[in-house]
Amino acid sequence: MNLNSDNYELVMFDLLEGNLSEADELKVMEQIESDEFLFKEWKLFKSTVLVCSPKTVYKGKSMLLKDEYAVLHNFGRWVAAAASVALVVAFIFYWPHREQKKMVHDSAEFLEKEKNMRLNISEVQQETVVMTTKKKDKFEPVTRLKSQNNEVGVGAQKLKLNRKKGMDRNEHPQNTDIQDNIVLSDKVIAQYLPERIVSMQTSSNESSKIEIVQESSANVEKNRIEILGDDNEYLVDNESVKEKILTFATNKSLKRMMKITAVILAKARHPKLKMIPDFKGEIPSLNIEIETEGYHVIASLQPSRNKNN
Amino acid sequence: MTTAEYNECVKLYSDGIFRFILKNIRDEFEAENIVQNTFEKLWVRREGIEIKTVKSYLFKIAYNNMIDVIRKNKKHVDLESAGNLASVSYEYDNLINYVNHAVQQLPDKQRTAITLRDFEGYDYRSIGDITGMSESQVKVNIFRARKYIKEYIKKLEIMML
Repeated sequence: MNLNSDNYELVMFDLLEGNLSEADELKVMEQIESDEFLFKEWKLFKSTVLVCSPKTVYKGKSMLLKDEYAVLHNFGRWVAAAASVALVVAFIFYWPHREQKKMVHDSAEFLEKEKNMRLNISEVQQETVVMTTKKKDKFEPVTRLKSQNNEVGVGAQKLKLNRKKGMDRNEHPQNTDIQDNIVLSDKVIAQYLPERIVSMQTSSNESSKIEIVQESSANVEKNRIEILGDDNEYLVDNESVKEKILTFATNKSLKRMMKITAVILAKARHPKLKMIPDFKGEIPSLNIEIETEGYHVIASLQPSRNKNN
Repeated sequence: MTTAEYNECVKLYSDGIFRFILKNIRDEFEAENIVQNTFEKLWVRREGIEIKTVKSYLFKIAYNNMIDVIRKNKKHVDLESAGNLASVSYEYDNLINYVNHAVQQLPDKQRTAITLRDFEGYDYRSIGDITGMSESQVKVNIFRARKYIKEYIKKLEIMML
């Protein structure tokens, strides 16, 4: 590539723009350096490259920047919605009304079972161990009667509660010290296993008998309590229910308390919660009102009441 | 384009766009307005713009805004009328100022092409995409711009001797 007066500007332009190959660049540069006119022209050409000043900056950059909260805001709305749903679900599941309702249901069921429980001591002509309590929660074997159906020692472990109305506690020579609060626990029952029948008398002059029959030592953990009534027979596997039934059959005061509790719980249905902020006075307060069917509770909170704070 | 990407574009390209506009119209206030309008349009249309092409997109918007401003204010100077060196002040005491003054005498297309080429390093195709010219037109305009600047500096040096 040879430079002449007609093409030198175009060639120098390509050289400046980097459009030439390395070989052409070397050749062109040799010719430029060898000619004074071309060298001056090349020097002028190089000066046509614009150089921007780094001091020239846009000052309103901060005004153009956008806050990234817009994205977070959208995300926050979803979080708020999810939290609201979670609150509603938690409200539905954990609101006391539901628990009260369940307790009332359990109480009613328990009372119905107790009502159907019929204990007939006239059927008891079994080999029994009559127990009395001289102290609370303590049983003591007194005598031993003979069983009629010979279930002692055979079949599933059974606990028979039999009650004979009109039977006076004084009829039994050892029952003079019987107290009301008799609780039969598993330990007590297990103490007289496997072949003993416990008879007791309550304060209502009604005698109860508990027959315990052990099936086999291997099935001790699967003991059953069979409560014989006039019409029905109850098989209870749940240990806690068993204890409740035994407690209920021997404790009248507890029975009354449970009835009253059931009534109270039944009344405390459909609660209404009101939260009323009060800014009228000098000290702002928050009034909380809980209103149910028959009960009305008002609580007032004043966070700034303590003047020292 | 996300908000973070938009902010990154502001940090990366706002200065370059401002220099490019300021070099072409020599009005700082108008240049700031054009930069602001450019990024406002980018923000409005950010959903349909990819980060890879955002630089060309920004310069294209800025260039179009600049053309509108130039047409509105009629501040551009024809190349032929810029040949009168008598009006040139001799306060320019260095080569950079000569060049800057020569650039202001260039036609809009030449000035735009050479500023995009030298300031931002764009190739001919990208400059053509921004300005709506073909590659050959871009090359010719850049060549004419450099030739004019060279002659401008040459004449000034001769007059100052």
